[in-house]
Amino acid sequence: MGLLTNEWIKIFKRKSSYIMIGILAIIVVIAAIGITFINDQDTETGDNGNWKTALETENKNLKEELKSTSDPYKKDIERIIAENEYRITHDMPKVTSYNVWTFMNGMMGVVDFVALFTIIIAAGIVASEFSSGTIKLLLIRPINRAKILLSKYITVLLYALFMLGILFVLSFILGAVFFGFEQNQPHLAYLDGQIIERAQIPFLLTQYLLSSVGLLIFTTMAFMISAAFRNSSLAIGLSIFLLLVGSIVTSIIAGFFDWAKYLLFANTNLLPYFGTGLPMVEGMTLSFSLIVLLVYFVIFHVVAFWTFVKRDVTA
Amino acid sequence: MVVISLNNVSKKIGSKTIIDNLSFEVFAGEVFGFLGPNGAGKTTTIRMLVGLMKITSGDIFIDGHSVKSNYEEAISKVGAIVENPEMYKFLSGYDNLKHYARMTKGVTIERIDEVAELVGLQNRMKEKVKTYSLGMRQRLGIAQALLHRPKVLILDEPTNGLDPAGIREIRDYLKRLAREEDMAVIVSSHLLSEMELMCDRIGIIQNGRLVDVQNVTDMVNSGKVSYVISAKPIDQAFQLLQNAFDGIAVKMTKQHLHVEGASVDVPKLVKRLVENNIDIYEVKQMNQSLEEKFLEITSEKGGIA
Repeated sequence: MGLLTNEWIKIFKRKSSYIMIGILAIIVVIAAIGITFINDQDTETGDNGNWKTALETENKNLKEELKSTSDPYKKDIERIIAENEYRITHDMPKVTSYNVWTFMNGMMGVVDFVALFTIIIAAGIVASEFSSGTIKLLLIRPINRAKILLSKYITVLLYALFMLGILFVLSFILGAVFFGFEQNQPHLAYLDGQIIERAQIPFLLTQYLLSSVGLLIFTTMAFMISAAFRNSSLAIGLSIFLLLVGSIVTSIIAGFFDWAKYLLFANTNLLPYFGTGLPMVEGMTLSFSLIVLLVYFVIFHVVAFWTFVKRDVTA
Repeated sequence: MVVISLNNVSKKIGSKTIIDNLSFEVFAGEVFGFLGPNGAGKTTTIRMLVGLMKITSGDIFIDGHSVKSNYEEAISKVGAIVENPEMYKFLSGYDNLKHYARMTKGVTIERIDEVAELVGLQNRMKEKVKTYSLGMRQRLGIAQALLHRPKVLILDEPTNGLDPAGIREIRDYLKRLAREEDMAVIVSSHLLSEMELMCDRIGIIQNGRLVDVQNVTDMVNSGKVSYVISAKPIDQAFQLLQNAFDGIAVKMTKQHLHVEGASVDVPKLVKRLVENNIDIYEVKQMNQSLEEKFLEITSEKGGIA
C-alpha cells in the first residue's frame, strides 16, 4: 500500500501529469464547441412525419443489396435492417442531432490519447528511476524487487483508469451542457440476430473499456520495454511507433497471409465482436483474440519481471 | 562483534573477474575505510553488499543474515548511499524521507523530524531537492540512510562535494554514530588524508583484490621514520655521515640530507657534524604519511598482481 502511495505521489508531483490532464480536458472542450458550431449550421430538414417510410425504403434497398454482397459485409447490412425494423415497430426515430450519448460515443476516439499518455507514464515509471539514479535507493529496502515492479505496474493501470474516468465524466458533463438529453433513447444492440435495448451509461462504459484493451496491451508493452531496457525515450518511442504503424502493417500483411491473425495488432480491437466494424482476418473470434492477447500479455510480464529482478543495477 | 563478513566474495562479468575472492569483516562500533584507486572495485563491492549486484561466488553476511538467501532480513539492517546521493529532485526533502519511510516498517513521523534535525536540514525540509546544494543532498542522503536505525551504515564517498566545515562535521558525526550507537560504518574513498582522520581500520583494495587491512594507528606508526638535515657545507656533511655510521642510508639533495634508518642516533650524529665545523640549520623528523604508505603498498603488491 505504501508502495502504491509512493508511486502515485511520484506521478502527481510532476508537472507533466497535469499537462496531460489539461490536454485531455482541452480536447473534449474543443470537440464539444466544434460540434455545436457545425451542428448549428447544419439545419435539420424536418422530415419528422415520414421517417418511417424513409426507413422502409432504406430497408428495401438494403435487402436488394444483400443478395449481391459478399459474406463479411452481409452481417453489417443485416444489422442495419434489423435496427430499422425495430425502430419502425417500436416507434423510435433515429437520433438526428447530437445529444449527450452520441457525443460520448464520439469521444471514445479520445481513448487513444489516454493510451498515449498512459504509455508515456508506463515508459517512464521504471526507466526514469534508472536515469536519475534513484533506483539504487529504491531497491535497497526490505522489499523484494518483484513487489516494487508490481506496485509500479498497478500504479500505471490506476493512472489509466483515472484518465479514462476523467474523459468519461468530462464528456458526460460537457455533452449534457452542450447538447442536452434531446431524443433520449436506449442503445440498440444487435446480438445473435436480435435487437436488444441497453441503457446508455452501462453501454458506453463497456464500450470505453473495450476500446481500452489496446491501451492495456500497449501500456504493458511500454512497461516491459521500460523495465527491460531501462531507457524511457526508447520505451516511449518504440511503443508509440508500434501503436501508429502496427495496425497498418498488420492489415497489409493480413491481406496476403493468414498468420497475421496471430500478430498483436490484429487482436487489439475487440469492438468487431460486439457489433461495430469487422475483424482484421476472416474467421477470428472473440475467444481467439482474447487468448492471443493473453499470451502477449503474459510474455510482456515475464520479460519485464525477469529482467528487472535478475539484472544487476549499474545505474 | 562482527556485523558484516564477506566470505570469498567474487564477481565475474562475462569472463572478466571484477572482484576476486574478497574476505574481510567489519565490527560494530568502528568506522571501516574502504580505500582504493578508481576502478579498483570499491563500488562493485558496495553494490554487492546492498544487493544491487548479484554475487557470483562466496557470500556476504550482515548481522548474521545472508545477502544471497535472506536479502530482505539482511538489508533491513543497512542504511546506505551508493555513489551519489540521488534523491527525487521534484519532491521536497521531507517528501523524499517520507517516501523511504513508507518502505520500511516502524519509521514514525517523529523519526523523520529527528533525522532531519540530526543532519541539520530541519529548516529546508519543505523545499524541493532541486534547490539543494550537493552538500545538502549528501546530508539528506545520510538522513535517509539513518531513518530505520540501521546497524550498518554504508557511505560511498561521503565527503564528496562538501566544504571543509561540512567534511569535518560529517567526520565527527560518523565517528559519534559508531561510538554511541554502536553502528558499523563503512566508508569508501580514494582520499587518503580523509580516511586517516575518519577511520579506525582501513582495507585497501586494488584490481579487485584485498591488498591489506590495517589499523590506522598502526599504519601511521609502522611507517619508516627519516630525518631531514639542513647543513653547510653540504658535500662535506654527506661524506662524513656516509662513512661514519653503519646501517643508515644517506641521500643528498640540493639543500638537504635525507637520513633513513631504523635506529638513527640523532644527538650523536649532530655532535659529529658540529665537531667537524659544519653549520646545522635544521634537523627535522619526518613520518611517512599514509599516502606514501598507501602508494608503497599498492605499487608493491599491485606489481605482483
